[in-house]
Amino acid sequence: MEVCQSHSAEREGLVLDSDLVRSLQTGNLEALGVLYDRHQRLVFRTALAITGDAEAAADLLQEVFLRLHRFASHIDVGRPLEPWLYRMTTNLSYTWVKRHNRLLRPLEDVADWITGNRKDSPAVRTEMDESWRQVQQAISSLPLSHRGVVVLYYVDELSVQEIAKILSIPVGTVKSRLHYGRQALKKSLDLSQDRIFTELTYEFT
Amino acid sequence: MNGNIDLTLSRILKNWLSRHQPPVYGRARLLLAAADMPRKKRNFLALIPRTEFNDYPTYGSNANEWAPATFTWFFEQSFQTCIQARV
Repeated sequence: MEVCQSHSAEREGLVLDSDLVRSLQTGNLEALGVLYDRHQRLVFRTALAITGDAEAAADLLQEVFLRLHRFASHIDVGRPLEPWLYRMTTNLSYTWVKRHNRLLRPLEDVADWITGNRKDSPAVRTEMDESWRQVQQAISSLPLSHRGVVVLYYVDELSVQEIAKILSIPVGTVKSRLHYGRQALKKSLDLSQDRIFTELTYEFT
Repeated sequence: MNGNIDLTLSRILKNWLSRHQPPVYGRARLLLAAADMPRKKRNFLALIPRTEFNDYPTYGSNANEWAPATFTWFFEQSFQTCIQARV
């Protein structure tokens, strides 16, 4: 996948990621901007899918590219950049979710209780379409390790081998987490072979 | 067997995520923050001396292990600083 992308970049006359990282290593911030433009969607959607929080995803997007800038001198330009971005995004998203669950969620619950603004109140519920809310809940209910694998497989369309390399876990572990995640999502979204979520599975043309 | 389900799940998740876009001023915000931030050129942690005797079991994860943890730490420090420990 990464190889294909670098080849297509070469065909389209774009500067290669490796050249941009090399330029970034010399302190060229314009190169960071180009890398951001090129990969921001990848990082944002991965962070959003794992955290389920758009604001957090925006913050993590910035944090990932700041780390790219900060640690540019440690990056091997001979290797594709995307696995590094996936790894960094996944790790930072995991950290955010753990910290949020441990520290912030209880505080948010107390604040909601004090202000009377319950998350399941009709006013809040109408803000988010019920079907999408169901999807978000289904993803959030997965254990964190399974969530990462599911997101990289279904959203980023990485192969099992690529996921294993990015997350530094055996291929068998990826497969078992994927199997568990698939079964859990099927159950929570009430998917079966003959019943498909028609309103959610439209394809953009 | 999983082909249909995989395709369906992939579309559902992508459509859910497509409802959100990266922040509009993200690039400017990033470049501003990056300009203020020093880059990491050298790993200064590598300069901190490390123990040669790092094969001790890691005690201290349990509250009941404070005694072996203290004992291990004390002797490790003694070896590092070349001070003979007499207990």
